[in-house]
Amino acid sequence: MRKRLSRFEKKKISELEQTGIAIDDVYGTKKSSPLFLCLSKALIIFMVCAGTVTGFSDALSLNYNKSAIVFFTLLISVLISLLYVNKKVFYIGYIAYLIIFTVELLRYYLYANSGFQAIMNRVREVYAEFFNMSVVRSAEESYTNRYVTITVTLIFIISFLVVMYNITVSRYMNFAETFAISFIILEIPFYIGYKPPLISVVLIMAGCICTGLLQKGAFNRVTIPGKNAPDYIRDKIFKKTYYTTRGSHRGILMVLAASLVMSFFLCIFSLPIFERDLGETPDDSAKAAMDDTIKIVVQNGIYGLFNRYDSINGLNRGVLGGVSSVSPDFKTDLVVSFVPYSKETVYLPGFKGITYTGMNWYNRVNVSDFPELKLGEEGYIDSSSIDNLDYILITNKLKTEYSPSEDKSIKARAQISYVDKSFGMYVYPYITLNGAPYGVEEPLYQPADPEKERVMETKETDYYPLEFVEYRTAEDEGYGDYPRSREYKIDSDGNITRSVVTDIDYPGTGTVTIRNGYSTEVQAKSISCYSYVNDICLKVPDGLNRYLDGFCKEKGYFGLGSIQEYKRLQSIVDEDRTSSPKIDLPISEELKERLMELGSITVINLLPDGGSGEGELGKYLEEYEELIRQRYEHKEALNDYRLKICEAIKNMFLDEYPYTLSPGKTPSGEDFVQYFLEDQKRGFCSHFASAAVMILRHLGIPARYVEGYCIPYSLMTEEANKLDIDGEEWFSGENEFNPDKNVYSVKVSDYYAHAWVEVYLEGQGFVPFEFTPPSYEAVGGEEMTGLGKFFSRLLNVDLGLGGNSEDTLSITGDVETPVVEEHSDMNFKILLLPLLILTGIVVLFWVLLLLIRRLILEIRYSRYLKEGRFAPLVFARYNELVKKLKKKKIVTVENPLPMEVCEDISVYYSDNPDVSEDKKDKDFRPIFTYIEKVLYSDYISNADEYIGFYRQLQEII
Amino acid sequence: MKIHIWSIIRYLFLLILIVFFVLVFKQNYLVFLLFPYVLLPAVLIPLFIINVKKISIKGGSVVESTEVGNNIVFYTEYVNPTYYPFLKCSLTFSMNNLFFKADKDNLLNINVLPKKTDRVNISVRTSAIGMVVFEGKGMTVTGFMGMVSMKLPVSFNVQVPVFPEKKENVDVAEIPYSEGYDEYTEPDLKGNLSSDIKEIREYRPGDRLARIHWKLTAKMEELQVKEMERTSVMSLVVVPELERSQISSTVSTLDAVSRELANRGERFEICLYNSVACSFDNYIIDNEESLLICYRDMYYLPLYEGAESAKEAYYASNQKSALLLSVYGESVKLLEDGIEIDDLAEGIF
Repeated sequence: MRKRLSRFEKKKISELEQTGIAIDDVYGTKKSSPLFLCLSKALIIFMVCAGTVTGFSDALSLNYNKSAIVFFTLLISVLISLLYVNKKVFYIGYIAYLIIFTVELLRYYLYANSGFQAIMNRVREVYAEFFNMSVVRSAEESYTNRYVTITVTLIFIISFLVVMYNITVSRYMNFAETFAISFIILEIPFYIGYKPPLISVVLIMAGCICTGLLQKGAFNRVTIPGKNAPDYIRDKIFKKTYYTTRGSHRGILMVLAASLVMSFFLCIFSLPIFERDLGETPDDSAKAAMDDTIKIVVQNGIYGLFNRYDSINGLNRGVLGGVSSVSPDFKTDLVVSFVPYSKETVYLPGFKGITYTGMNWYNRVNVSDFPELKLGEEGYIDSSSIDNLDYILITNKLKTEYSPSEDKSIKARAQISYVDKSFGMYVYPYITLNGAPYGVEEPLYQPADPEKERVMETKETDYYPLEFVEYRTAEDEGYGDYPRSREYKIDSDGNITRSVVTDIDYPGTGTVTIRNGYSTEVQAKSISCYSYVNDICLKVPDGLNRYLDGFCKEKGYFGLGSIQEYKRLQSIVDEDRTSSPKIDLPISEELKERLMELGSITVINLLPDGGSGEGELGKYLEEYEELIRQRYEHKEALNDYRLKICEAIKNMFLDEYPYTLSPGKTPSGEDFVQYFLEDQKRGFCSHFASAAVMILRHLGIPARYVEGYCIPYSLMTEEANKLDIDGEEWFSGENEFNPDKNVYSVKVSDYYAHAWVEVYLEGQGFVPFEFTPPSYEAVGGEEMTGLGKFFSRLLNVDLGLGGNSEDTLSITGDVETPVVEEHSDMNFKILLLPLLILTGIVVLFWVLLLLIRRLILEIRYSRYLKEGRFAPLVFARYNELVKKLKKKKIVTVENPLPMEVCEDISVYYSDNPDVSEDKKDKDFRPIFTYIEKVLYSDYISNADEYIGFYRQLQEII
Repeated sequence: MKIHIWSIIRYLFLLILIVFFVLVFKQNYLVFLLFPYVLLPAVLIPLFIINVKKISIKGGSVVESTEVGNNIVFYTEYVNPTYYPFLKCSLTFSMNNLFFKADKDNLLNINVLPKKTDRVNISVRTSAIGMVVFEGKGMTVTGFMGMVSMKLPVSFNVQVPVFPEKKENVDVAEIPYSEGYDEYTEPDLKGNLSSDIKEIREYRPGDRLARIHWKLTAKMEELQVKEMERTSVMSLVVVPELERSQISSTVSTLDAVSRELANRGERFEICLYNSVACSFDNYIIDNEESLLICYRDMYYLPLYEGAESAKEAYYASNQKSALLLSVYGESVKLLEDGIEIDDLAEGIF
């Protein structure tokens, strides 16, 4: 059998034929065995790899078996570096290694994954500790014996790292790349000031210095490079051939020893610097920016960097469908300075959604949706129209004692003292719920207003009073307080009316300005508050309405059985509303005349207790008051029932719908709420708030969706602790306002953005209600990245791993109950998407690579043209032509001579009937003659000739 | 000394990167990285510059000559008297067979270890006869991380001739020396009659008229003929055709023929034609040594394209021999005064 010759052997034979000689081998007198050479390289790899892995693990105080790690590092380093012993071993060995690696990884997948998650959890832990954050993400560890799982994982990491180091050390001896691999890993503990042990640093440094010294040395190449081109042409193009002696292992070992000594002394000398604080640095903004990014990564994973709310910072202005996960950037959006009032969360509503479209909430109404609405004067802005404006207003849900005193319980003052530049909303200093901007009409901050300073000066007058009087939460008791202050009017017909009930009495008489159209053609209309509440805030899209009908029935009206009682109460209240309370007041003719003269009289504070009753009139007023009281009781009962329903819905969410920051996107075309309730069954605040609003509206309870910020008590105390302030005294509500002393300045980042629901309560207006269940992710939610999830699912489905993990485990150590992930909800759709994305990325990558390669080639060709090096240029073009012709199967031989190609083309064109007559008649000989001249003779071409040739060449193709 | 700007820029970039991490990110642990980066180049580059000039390099060959098909082992020997290792040295050399000179340089990467004298062997395969020349043209030594390099002058020229393979049992036919030359032939022709008279004898039928010694005939009244002295003892000249395409077989045939003739004790000359200078060099072959000397010189001659120029040139020149053996490829032709009288090729192979 004829022996197949290698490329290099063929090259030598060709050289022998042409020049009579060929360089056969280059070697030193003491020819180092490839085996020893590889082993000495293995030592370098071992040093760097062991130093990196142990340095990383020890810096983070991971619990693992050190001797096992060192042993495996040495073993794998030796095995992998031996792959370079010769070509056959190289190819077969790498494939075998890859297979073994994959199989072992699959076998010990659960250990490796648990260990990896344990490492990641530890990293998150130390980072959270460093940045003083709460750990909101924590990966699940199937096996809790970290000693075993981390050791197993580190072995796998080593197996991978050694391959990388083998490339940078055995193949290239590249200092920068070797260092970069170690650096990336060690940066994790370095960044937050965790130190690796000295020995690890010495090892890494020695390995890197050794690689640096050997860089570009003659230890690198094991083969003679050559290009795949006919030699006679190659000689003309590539003038020099490189030969490299096989390095000597003695040399490597000597350099390694020197590096070890050097690195040891360098580390000893630099130890004092290790311990020193570098103090102030010129610019902290870069570090701050980096810190912010790292915080995102720690809390939300790398995925978090790419998936944020893309509208205004934390608020999303009602955009629902396109957000798959909430990933705060932890940048401060607002700084709110205020005197705290209670230990409850302070809510800052920003966006109020009244119209739901399936994918979005709008704070505007499409008037054509409500043809029955009676619209008032255009442009009329009523006091309650603030509900429709896009700005942050400050309010809270604090429980307050209602005080009828004149100062209206102004017990706290607040100021927004800083607004992030990118903040896209107006900021008004303070707006009471029912009133116009208090004191000022100009906003403090307008979006995209370069003139405005972002940081407002702090002056006492800039603190605007917070009135927490009217805006009470539904949870508060006594929401339907019987009014204490009232006036009655008696007209000449003897009718008694209550002229003022309370500020927040039923808003049936007011008007609300709404905007027509969702986004464009804004046209202000004013409608009655009644329509606003009972038409607009009860609107549910038809399709969703039908779905919710079934949904509510299926859920048994959330444990309430039915809502007949609610409907009855509602109808009573409606009846009350349509008929005003009336009693017959028998009045004397004298009084009647007097009333005719005066128009009407006002009687103040005729209290039912008769404290200042005016005789007989008091009796009648008492009767009238009883009617009013009944009506209040009806409303109270209705409100009670509304809250009962709210509670029931909240409980259902708590039981069946877990909270997660990354529930995934709603597929386009699907209704956001329906998809959440039916398929997704998990979500974040926007999901819960939107679904709750829709269910409430479906059941006939007016409600709206609110986005804003909430300042939890913990955030307040955190700030207070920093300032060393005793917060307790503030909660008395008696503090004098002193901007220098009593003010909390709370940095509100987008992490505190939130969405909640406002439920309409009769007699009280819209009150906030929290439907979002608390997040349990902090104590162990599943939070793998998309790819991790994908692989874990893939592995568990295809290979049936993980199912019996509890039985197969027998790990020593303090074993906690293993938490086994459930994979029963395996959905192939979910698999398909990442697979498609992966394929897409790979394809894109290749396309990009090809384009870059093409670009580089073109640049090179233009350089050749400039320098007048026509031989390589013509050769490259000729090669391109041959490649294309080979694809078309016009040319079949390898490395054809130009004239052979010419003949093949002529034959093809003359035989092929599809070819145009022009081409058939064309004589291509001059092109190939030119190629021959340039490539095989000393002919010196010129640019014009080349360009002519190139044009003709294009014609052939 | 050459400073490599790109390497320095790359180095500075890494340095700035580390400084950035140290200062901006307040990572004092990274200071240790500054040491290899700042200290090593600062120490190693001056050391490199001081020591690099002390290394010397020369070339040689293990064998003086070889037969075609055998490998020649050349070597470069370096001497590093310093304690500094030079791990990237690129020796530029050319390796040529003078007959097929490819004007191409090769690079040989070697590592020069400290306090050491060592050799790097270059084994070369041969497939054609000729003079293999191993020529060192310079050595570039690169310092730490490729930041500086220095070109050392290296000049050695090692030449090893590759002789043709010896052929056994070669049968060359008897050379038929002819008699009777006409009177007009030049007197100084090699192997021809000279003007010196060897003897005078009586006329024998067949003797040329030009040889008749008229004066003596008149005295003796009998036809006397001059027997002339030959100009030299040589009567056979071998002219190889140094034509490129056939050079190997020509030399091989020449070698076979020459050895056979020498074995027979025939004295002959090899006449080498320099096609550029249009001159001839004659080598009297009487032993193997003289044959190798002839080959050695032949290997330096330029080859020419096209057939049998040497033969034509020989006859065109004033060097004329009675018998000429033209060797071209595998054919050996015996010519007398340019006329082919025999083809000896069959006898050889």
